[in-house]
Amino acid sequence: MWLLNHGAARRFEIPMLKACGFNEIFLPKIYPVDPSFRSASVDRSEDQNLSIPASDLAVLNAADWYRNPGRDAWAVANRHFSLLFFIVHTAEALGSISAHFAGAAIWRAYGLEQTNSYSNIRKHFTQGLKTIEKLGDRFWFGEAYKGLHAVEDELIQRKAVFLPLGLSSTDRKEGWTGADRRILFVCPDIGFNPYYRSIYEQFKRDFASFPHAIGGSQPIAIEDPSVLGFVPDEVHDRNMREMRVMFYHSREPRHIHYHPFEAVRSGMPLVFMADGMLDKFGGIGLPGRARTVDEAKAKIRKVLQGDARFIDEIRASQHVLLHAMSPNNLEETWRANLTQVVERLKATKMEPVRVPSRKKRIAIILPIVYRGGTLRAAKLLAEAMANGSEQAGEAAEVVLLHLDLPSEYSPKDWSDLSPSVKIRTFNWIILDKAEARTAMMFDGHADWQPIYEKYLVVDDGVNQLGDCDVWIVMSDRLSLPLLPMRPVILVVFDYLQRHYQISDLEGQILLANRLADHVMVTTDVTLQDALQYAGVDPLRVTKVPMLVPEKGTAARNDHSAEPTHFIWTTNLAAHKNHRRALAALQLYYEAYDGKLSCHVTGFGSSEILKSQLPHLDGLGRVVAGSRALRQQVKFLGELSDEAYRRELASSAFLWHPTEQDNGTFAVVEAAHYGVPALSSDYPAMREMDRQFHLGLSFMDRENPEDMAFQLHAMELSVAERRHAVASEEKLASQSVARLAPSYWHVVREFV
Amino acid sequence: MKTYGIFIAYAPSIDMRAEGLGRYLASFLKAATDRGDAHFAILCPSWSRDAVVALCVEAGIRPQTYSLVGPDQTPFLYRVYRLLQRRRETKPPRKRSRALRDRLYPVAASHGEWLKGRIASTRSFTAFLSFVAYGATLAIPIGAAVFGMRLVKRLRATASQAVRRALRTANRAVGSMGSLSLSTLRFRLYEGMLERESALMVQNGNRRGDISAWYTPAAFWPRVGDLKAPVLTCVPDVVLAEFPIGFAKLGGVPMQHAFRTVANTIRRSKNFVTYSDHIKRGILVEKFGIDPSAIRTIPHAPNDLSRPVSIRGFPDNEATGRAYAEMLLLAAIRKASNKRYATTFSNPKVRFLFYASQFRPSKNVITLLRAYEWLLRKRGLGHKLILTGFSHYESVSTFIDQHNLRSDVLCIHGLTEPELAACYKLADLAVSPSLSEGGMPFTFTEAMSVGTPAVLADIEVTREVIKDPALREASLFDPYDWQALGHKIEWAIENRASLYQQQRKFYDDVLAKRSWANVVEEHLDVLDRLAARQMVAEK
Repeated sequence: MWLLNHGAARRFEIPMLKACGFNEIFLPKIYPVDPSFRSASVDRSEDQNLSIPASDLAVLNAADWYRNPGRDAWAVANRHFSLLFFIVHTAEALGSISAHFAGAAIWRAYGLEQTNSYSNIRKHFTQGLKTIEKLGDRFWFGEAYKGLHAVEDELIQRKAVFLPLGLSSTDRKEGWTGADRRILFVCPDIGFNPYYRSIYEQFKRDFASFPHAIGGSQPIAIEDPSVLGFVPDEVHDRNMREMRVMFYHSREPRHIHYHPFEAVRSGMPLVFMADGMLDKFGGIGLPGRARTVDEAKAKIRKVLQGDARFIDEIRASQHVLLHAMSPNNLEETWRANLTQVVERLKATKMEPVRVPSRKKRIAIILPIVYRGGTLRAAKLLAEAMANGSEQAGEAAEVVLLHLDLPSEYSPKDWSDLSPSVKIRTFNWIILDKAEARTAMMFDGHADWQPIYEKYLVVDDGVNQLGDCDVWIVMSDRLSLPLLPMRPVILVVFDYLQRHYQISDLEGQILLANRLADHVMVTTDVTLQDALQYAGVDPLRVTKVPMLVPEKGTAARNDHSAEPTHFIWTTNLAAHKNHRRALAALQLYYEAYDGKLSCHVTGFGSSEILKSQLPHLDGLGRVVAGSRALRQQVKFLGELSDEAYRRELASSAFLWHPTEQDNGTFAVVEAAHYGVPALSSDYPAMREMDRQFHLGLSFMDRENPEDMAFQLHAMELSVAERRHAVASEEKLASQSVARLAPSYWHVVREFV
Repeated sequence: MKTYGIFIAYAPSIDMRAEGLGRYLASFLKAATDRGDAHFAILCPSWSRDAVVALCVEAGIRPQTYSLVGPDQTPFLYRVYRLLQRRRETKPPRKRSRALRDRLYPVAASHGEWLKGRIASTRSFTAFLSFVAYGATLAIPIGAAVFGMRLVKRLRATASQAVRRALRTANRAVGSMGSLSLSTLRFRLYEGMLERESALMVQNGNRRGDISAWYTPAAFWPRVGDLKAPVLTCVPDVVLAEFPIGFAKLGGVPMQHAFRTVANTIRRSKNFVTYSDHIKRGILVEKFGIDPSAIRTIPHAPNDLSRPVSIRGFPDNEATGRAYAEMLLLAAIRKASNKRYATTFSNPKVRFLFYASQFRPSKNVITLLRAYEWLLRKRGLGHKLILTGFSHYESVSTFIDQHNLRSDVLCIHGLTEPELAACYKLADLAVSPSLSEGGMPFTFTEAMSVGTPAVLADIEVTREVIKDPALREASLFDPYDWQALGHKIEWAIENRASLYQQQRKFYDDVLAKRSWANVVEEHLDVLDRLAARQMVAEK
């Protein structure tokens, strides 16, 4: 697999690979939409030489190899290919190749400017986390010019293999006239690349007084008549034939452009600066070589003035520069060095390192004490992971971790989980910079450097989750960055802090989102907040369908007894809209003469009237001042599951007057009992209504008058509303087993 | 070839490239010099010479098409000011002692390592004692030197702190006695320097007999009236008069001075040009009693921002251009004043509303913020609001803090032109709630040029240009009603494609037909007529 799209390199390297005996070569069909890919193109001509099934080829062709093409594409690649050439454009690509490719991977290196190195690039993309180290002996640094590895770190130096870049042909073209008395200077990307911009400005400073034309593609137009921009092939050929002289500025010791060689091939005199790579190609001693800009100017002046003897002298001698680029001269080097790569790969495959295989292990972490919805969601996710991996034939072990607080959790909380899900308790521990650095080094991330002062680690009393392959955190409530020893996936249900002042950790929570390898959300509105508010890269967020508790033992009520109450499930949080809800209840009883009493349940709900929280302050007085509220509204607090289900099953309907959130399971649970629900009208509830066909009734969450009116309407039409509730079959179609593959599809990319 | 003069006298601290008037001047000069039949003599203060040249280079104005007139040596006071500025702006140069320390450190460290090895491995008690004694002998002077240096550093810091404190106290004491404060003194000195520089400029300008007429792009410089050749004074706007309380709260002495200067310049000038009839009638005629026949209205040409974000030569130029703009947008967002939020922001496809102007009392930013807050909190609009104003503007920063909008309203100041163009290109909608402008806000043409619709405050200068009732209905809103703005934004986002189509047609059919060449031609026409009239009068 030659996973590059550079046209000139392809014209040389594909024939060279074929000459070395590699007759089946896959070329990528998708490359980054990026103005710096100016020399890139797609070549489908090699597809016809591939003997792989058409369906496999289709998978490879549809994959974006410059990012993470996904496990399925890698599975195909590993079935058919043993050698891979790549360049590094994104962190995902580097991580993906390192994690998934089973053959030998050659990082193709064409040289960089003096201030940069491939080791820097690797560190930039990986943040020091191990990537190519995972490939072991199967990784190679394929340097296109000898000695590129000299400035690299030890790993790259050790794995350097010389695969020289050449020209597809070095035959000299005839027909140069030099009739156009101008310097041809090639400088692409002036409009957006600061490196080339400064080269352009330097050239303009030095050579403004000389007649000149500036070639090279200019994706952004430049307001300089001497800049040619994109020219058709025939104009380019004419320029190479007719321009009097080419000036090549570069003194870079480890990078060279293609155009000076093109000029030499065309017979155009080349004046170039000393100490650059052309010196290594035999440029020392050539008459076109200049040690200073003044010397270059003097030589160019002579050429422009038509000094025929000098021109001939340059032209006659400069062809030596092409010797090291000739395919004939390079074939042997390629053959020998690729043989080394292949032999090493064979040896690795014959003596594979035997690592006892075990099932992948997924950790699901409840980072703070969660009861209610998030606790249920964690348990459902654990079931989905176990189920989804099983269905995919990649059975994984699931470990659910909660804080070691016996007062908050009891074994009963986990009794409804399937036995395959293991429960562990944990405590957070904090590592300082030095400890974090040490731990990461011991885990094989030798180049990792801490950015933050402190890091969080899960201490499960075993091996700090070192036995798990991926860490999934339920919510983003992390007070410090997690030590990035394993991939971290966050499951985020909402970003209420965008609208409510609910935590002092806003900055830290945002950071948790941005540092995570991936974020899973369950509604469109949260997806939008993840992108718009948390500012997470869209490629690192996935919306998965919401999981809800299944029917279990719930049976639909036959409603032989007329219900006398409805249920309001809530807690103490500001977004629960208590003030308007109580105003609505007051209107319902006093203005609409409401008959149904209201049973308020949920964690902390018995404290609503006593709370001093700003959004609850004074509600006690509101209830005390209304006889109807005192008599009809009963604050039951947190009920046991059984008691809650009894309340729910016997209720007329469920009331959900919350301002906004990520939706509530309560309405689905009610539907299992055939109980309809009246909900505030906000996007997440609309979305749930669509996903589960709940037949919800809606009310204006900001208008107590409307809320009261809708309560009254529910009371009057409760029988019809019951009919609108989703059927048991429809609810069953959204079971954990049905939805689990969507979750596993995301997580499997990280294990 | 005719020679015309341009008079500018910006303060030394003004970066013309970052100012609207600077960009206007660049567009004007570019179009004027491209004609090939006119040469421009730019009369400017000595301190502006470099800035003018930089402006011209950036705009691609050929050096042979203009010349600089005016004093070429800067005043001594200015040089002192620059020196102090530079000290403040630039990083302290690397100290020689630091370089020496850098050289000595590795030597000392390796010697220390050697000594450590010897002490740790010696088998002889005598040698052990000798090495320890040697180490101690070295450690004493080195320790004393380090201690001494640290002491000197600490003393110096304490002394400089004390001097600063004393200066502040003196300033406060003098201020409380009703005398001159340091800032007032600085301003008075600056005023004197500017006055003298302007006088010298006028002397230089009057020596040039070849200049047929002068053009000054702003009414900030009363001295322009002393030029002998006729002068055409541009009055972009007089916002101070329209928002007296807002600007009074901003300003103090410099703002008073600015107002007097503008009024003085207008009174001393005889020929005017404005960008709109509204400024002509509503300000110059009604407020300053200028004869309408002395005022010519010359509207702007569109500001086309497409060049820095238009990509050519790729299979899909639109997609590549968008990807490039996204890269610029992320760079721009990282300039946001809320650094903590912005530095790790990673979504290049973020959706946002864009306000591209500074914060001033006339800009009506609070109305935009009120509308945005309603859209975000009550209407479920997830967009961000990106503003290019400076975040320290008090009313704006207070509103943002009070409404917990620090992560959604981003103030991004100091954008480069490509970044500005990228913000416009990627915005879902550009918004201009400004209550007062000299001409129709550039927001409209800047947004149109990169494919983004815009909604604008329904103000007189905009109505002069947008006359079609249907287009007005679609594009304008009542700037005194934040809910009207909220509804307009909501509607515009829902109907983005059709709104853009409607506005683009107007842009292509009407606005884009006018170019900076037309603007220049109309100006030169006025200047020629003024010159001819003067010649007749002199005869």
